Amino acid sequence: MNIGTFFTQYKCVSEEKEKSHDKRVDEIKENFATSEVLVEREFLIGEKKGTLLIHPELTDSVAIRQMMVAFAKCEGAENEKELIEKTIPITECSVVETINEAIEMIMMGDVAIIIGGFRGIIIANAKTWQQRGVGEPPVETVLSGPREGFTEDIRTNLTLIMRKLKTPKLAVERFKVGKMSNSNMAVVYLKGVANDKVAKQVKEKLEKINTDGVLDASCFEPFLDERPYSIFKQVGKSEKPDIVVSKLLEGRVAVVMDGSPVVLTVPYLFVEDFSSPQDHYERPAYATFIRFIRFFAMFLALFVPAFYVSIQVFNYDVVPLRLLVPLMNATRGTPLPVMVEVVLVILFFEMIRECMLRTPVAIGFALGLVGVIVMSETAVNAGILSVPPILVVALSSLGLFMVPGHVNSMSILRVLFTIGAGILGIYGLILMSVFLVHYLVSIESYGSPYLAPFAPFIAKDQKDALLKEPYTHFKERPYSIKQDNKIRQK
Amino acid sequence: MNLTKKDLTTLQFVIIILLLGLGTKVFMIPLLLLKSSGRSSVFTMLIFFAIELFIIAVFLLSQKISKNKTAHEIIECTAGKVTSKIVSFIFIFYAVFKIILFVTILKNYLFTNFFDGFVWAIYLLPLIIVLACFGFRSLTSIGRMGEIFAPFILISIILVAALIAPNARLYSVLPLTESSGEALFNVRSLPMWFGDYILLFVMMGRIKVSNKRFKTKVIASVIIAEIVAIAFAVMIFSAFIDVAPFLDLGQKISAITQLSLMRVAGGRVDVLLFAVWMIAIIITAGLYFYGASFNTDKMLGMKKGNPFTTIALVVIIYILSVFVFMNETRLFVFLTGFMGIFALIVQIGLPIFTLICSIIHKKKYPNTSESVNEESENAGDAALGVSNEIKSEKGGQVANEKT
Repeated sequence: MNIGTFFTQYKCVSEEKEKSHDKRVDEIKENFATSEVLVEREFLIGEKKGTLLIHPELTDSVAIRQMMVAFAKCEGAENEKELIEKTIPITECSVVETINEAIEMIMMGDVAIIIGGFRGIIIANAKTWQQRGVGEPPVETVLSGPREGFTEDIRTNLTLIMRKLKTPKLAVERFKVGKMSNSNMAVVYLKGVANDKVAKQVKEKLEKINTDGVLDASCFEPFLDERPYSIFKQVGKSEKPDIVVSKLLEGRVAVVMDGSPVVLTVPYLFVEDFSSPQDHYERPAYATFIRFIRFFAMFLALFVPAFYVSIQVFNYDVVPLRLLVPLMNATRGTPLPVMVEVVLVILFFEMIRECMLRTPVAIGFALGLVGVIVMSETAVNAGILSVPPILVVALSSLGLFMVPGHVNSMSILRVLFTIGAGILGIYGLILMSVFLVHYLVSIESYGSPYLAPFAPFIAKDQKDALLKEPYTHFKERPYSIKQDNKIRQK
Repeated sequence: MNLTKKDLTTLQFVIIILLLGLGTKVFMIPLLLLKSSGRSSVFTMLIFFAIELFIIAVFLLSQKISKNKTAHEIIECTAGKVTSKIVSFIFIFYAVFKIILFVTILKNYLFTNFFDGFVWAIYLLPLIIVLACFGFRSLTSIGRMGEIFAPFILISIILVAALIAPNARLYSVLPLTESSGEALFNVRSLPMWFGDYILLFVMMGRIKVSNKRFKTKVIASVIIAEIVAIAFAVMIFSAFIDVAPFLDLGQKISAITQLSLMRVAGGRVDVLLFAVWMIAIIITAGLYFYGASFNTDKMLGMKKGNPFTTIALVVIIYILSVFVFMNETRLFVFLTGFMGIFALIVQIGLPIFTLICSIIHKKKYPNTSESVNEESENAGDAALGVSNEIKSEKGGQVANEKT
């Protein structure tokens, strides 16, 4: 072979490699709806042509500049590995083989580096975007204890969990869900503590999801529910890392989702929402006392409006005479039937609650005042409504919000109970109670009975149900939940 | 070997026994006996107490001989499919009329205390729907329900007793032999109001027998239930014996309790307490419905929880309650006549037959009756159905608890 042939062949090979490089770049750009979304920066590494493809809204410009400087100083590299090890100033790098993988990573905020002559495409982690700082979540506030809350970034959330569980047994299995959203999710559990079957069930459910996008944990919840149409939640939720970690230590499995500050946990028990984050940081006596109050409040929330209607319509003789007389005086002359009156007041309360949630804080507060005070007062003065239903519904609403986790289901139930009591009296109340309890006891959340540890009665779990005993008594993990290791402390 | 799933824990089973023994008898029986056999009612109760103890003893023996087999499986293996279907039919027939009895008692109570002039055909519908749920769901659900409601029912019984007790004059119960003839006659005519323990045979082979104390717990709970029932009855006898002729077959006792204590100004608390007692009646009726539905599925060779059998039973009960036995006197005559003898035969005959079949089954298949799950008691795990390892604190020895 003479020199001319050699250079010709070299030029052909070089041209081929450049075409391959240009072809891959074009292929990637063609996959985007608008090619202007991508920014490309060309550079040379020795003789080789290279291109950086980035999504500017998702990528850190400082990291890109550092890389360009590093490439400018680089005299050459034989392969992707050498380039990664010696030149690229970013710790997290990998190599992908296909265009689709590269596109996926670009959409995550990574940088795709295509070098002519290299088979693979180098992916460097240069993600950055604006995100909310770690602060106290609005719902789970505490007087004492950590005030960290999850954010919308999955990495931050996993970091918050890992900081509290510094054990290699913490399993974090990542998934992508949603054909369009490609949402990052992670199933987190303690290997050797959580039951493998439960973890497997959760993973299988994740893998079966075939949808365009899942934007928030609440949207994802129905995929984990065993009874999606039930009014009762079957998946635990928390925005606090310490609460999620305590659930992981009990043998539960958590699902963390990118884009959502809410972490889901399973199995879920009905009694879980009767304890607040503050309980963990209070003296056991007070925590027990306040739990009893919560249970009583929930009972009031559900039964007081219905009971009031029932005694007014069917069983006024149940009421002691001293209370009956003022009650009758207060309700005399109102045009509406008792049941309709109470249901209307409940609906007014729900409307006011919804308005206060949807409107800006300043207006919402004023609206609440207007709705509650002005409307009720004027309605009473006008003789349209009487005072006792308003009092009864206010008491019920107070009880309702003592257990925020069950507000939604109990709001619906109290209306149904009121209507049932209005038609059938205490008989209706009893029937509905039996039906409700029968329904609740039949629910199981990943093998754990929903009403455990009350039904089935598990004596050993009572220390953290209605009662709150000191942590020194928690020698074993809850029997209500399946685990692989019961011993917690010795 | 056919290992049946353990549906009930020991605690749940004991609670069901208490509900069956106490829940219905405490409020249902005393007035009935008072009107029929006056001061000698105690003898009637003692005789039925003996019958119920007999049922329990036979049940425990059958359960011991064939731990992992249900009564239906034992009878089918031993006496053939046709016999087991006949036995199922007999039980279904018995259960349906038991349910109608409970439904009628509820109707009486509601009519007396809550509703004035109401159409029972309409008011029965929600009750029937609730009963149907018992047919659709499992025995585990019923056991768990019992755990939730039992404390409230027991408290209501205690509080009603507290309301009545001040008016009780024990000496007025004497002489006990005043109407001993009627007392003996009642044994023939009132079995339908007793013998609820026959339901336990539906649960045979489906109870997690935790340890040797299982028998002790069962017998103790039966004795406690019977003693409390008799004591309550004696208290009511002593309080209301003089006004017995003026009482209806129903729950007028509630109004009398209130009036006799001049507690009108204090409000009718007893209404609330009896309302809680209603739950016991509903659960017991639900258990019978479950038993009937279970046996219907077995008889027709259908899968458990088949909606058609449940709906069919619901329709039959509704038609019988509303159209055939709307007249209480007619129902009472039927239940104390033909059904009285039939019930007595079922309450004594069915346990004996099951025991005989168990003994024959054990002789035919000696290895299949061995217990597989003799574990130490660990409350609540039975319902979770999971194998948990507990490392004991001494030496890391692992004890496997299969639940």
